Amino acid sequence: MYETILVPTDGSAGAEAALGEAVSLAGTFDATVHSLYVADTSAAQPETGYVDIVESFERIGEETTAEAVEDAERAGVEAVGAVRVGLPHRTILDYAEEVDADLIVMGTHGRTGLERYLLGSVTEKVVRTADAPVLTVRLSDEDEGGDEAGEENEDEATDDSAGTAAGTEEN
Amino acid sequence: MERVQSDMKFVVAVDGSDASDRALDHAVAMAAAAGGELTVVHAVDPDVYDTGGPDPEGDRSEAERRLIVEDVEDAENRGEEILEDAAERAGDAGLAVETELLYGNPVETVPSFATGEEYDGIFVGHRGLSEREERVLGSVAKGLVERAGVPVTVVR
Repeated sequence: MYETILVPTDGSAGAEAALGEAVSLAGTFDATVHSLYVADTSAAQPETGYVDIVESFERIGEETTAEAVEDAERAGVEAVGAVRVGLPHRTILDYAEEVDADLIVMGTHGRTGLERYLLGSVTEKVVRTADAPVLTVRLSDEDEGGDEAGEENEDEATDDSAGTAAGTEEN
Repeated sequence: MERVQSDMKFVVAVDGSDASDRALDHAVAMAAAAGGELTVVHAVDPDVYDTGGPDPEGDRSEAERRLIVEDVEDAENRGEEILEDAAERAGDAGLAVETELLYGNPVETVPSFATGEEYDGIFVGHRGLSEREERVLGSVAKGLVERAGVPVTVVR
């Protein structure tokens, strides 16, 4: 069914949940998991030390993907880590084609507020444009209360309308 | 290493389009390979046929009311046909499936059906709209990705 499963990661709790799902599927179908980290060039401007920022992103990527590979292998699943530089959704699609991925697994914050918009925009673009099927995994409420998203912030983002969410981040 | 699960249950949402056929084929292959069950669902949305605006109107004529009811019945009949076709397509691929006609906006009814019946995942097709088209027309796939509490696989 699936032979090559791509899981883009940004080190977030959402990506972690996606990895769990990917590893479980890979175990079922004896597939290889590819953990891809994209060093986002759109976040690095030339005047702010482009090379330094991209290099530090790449280091974070090496660590993040190494951890993912370790997690997968601990579950008895073959895994490959990769770090690429570029625009996240474009780079994810290119990589998917390169390794001939037959499934892309991504996390999403299916909640209201600013956070969903920020964390979900890459997933949304990949869902809309990928040729391969895209499996999206939503964080459960318990996961969201974890280390990545403080519960207070989460509640505020949920209670406030989109129009005021940006202004109330640091109430 | 064969660790095929046998207790997985999946839902595939269909609307009779080519994209939905591809999602169905994918879901059938997945359910068959995983040794799981598959339920094919189609949502009939009565609100779509209510032309009276967001609030129910009291002064709608009998004829108008009848027209709306007939449209809903048409949609139901069409929905049943879509489900039958899908079940046949799955059967041809070697998988016996359940079918279920749901009522309401698919973006709401499909996830609540999947969660309520403890399904492990939802499959849905996507027509590949541009960002602009999608903003205007909306997308069931996108809505499911945002709302569903269970994993959603979007198939192009």
